[in-house]
Amino acid sequence: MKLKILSLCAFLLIAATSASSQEKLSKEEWQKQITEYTSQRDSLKNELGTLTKQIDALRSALASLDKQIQTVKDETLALSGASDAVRTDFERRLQDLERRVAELLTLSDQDLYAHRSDVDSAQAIKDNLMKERLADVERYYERLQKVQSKIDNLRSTLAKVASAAESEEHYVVRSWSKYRDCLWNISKKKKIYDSPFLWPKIWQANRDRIKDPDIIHVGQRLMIPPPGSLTTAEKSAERVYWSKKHA
Amino acid sequence: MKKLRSVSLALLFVFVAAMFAGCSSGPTADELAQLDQLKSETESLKKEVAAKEVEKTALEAQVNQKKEELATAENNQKLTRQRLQSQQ
Repeated sequence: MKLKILSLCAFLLIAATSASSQEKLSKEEWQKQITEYTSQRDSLKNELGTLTKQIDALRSALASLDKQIQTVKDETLALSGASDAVRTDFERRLQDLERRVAELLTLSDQDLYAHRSDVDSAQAIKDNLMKERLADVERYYERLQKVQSKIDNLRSTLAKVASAAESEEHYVVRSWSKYRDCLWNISKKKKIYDSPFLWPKIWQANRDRIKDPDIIHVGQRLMIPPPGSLTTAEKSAERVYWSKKHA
Repeated sequence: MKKLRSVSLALLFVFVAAMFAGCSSGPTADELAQLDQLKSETESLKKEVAAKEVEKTALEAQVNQKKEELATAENNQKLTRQRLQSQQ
């Protein structure tokens, strides 16, 4: 029995010792790893040095390109012979035009139709800008071309709305004394909207003919847009009307 | 009794042999620390190199973009010149 216990202890001791000796490095293995890591470190250091140089070169190329681009742009602007003040003024007018056209593009077809004179005035502003020398500078030329293409889109929408409007109903104003014709009463008519509250619709569709909605003239041919709730522009026009009326 | 003694001697021999095997000549603590330091230095260099590679790629893309911008600016200048000349 004692012999068996002793043998077991010896076996365990040898196993443990052998395991611990496997975890430890031998001197040769250590040397091998040192050589391996040293060479890896040196090569990484070299790579890092090369990369740093390349990055520095790229940074300086970037700075030089920025400079060249600015020079070319300045030279291009100088070709027009325009002074800074003229250039600033041109830029401001062009920005205004771009903003106006962008606003017109957000309108519904009906609202756009009510603002059709604004499309004409945008076209006139664009044509005036095109007459200036700065319009030939590519950067402005491109922007003006974009504006023109947007105005063309607006015009094509207007043409569609106008052709639809032509097929829409019309109403010829009759006298107040006999027929009590005013926008409110016209809108109230059964064959029109059957609701007096839609009168701003008639006003806005005929803005070019009706400056003051309280004044319409006998014989005026009013366009009657299709029925429907008031658009944002119509509501806003009505608000302005009532605020002026109560002022 | 004699048998037990010989077995004990054999065990003692095995034990001593095992001790020698476990404590054979390995690197010293300083040498192991040197290796660890080298390993961590290498790891940190690897990270630095990777970061630089990313930076370089981004810069290369920027440079290409700027080159295109310059070409566009030069072309714009050419077009402006032509347009102005045609108006004169």
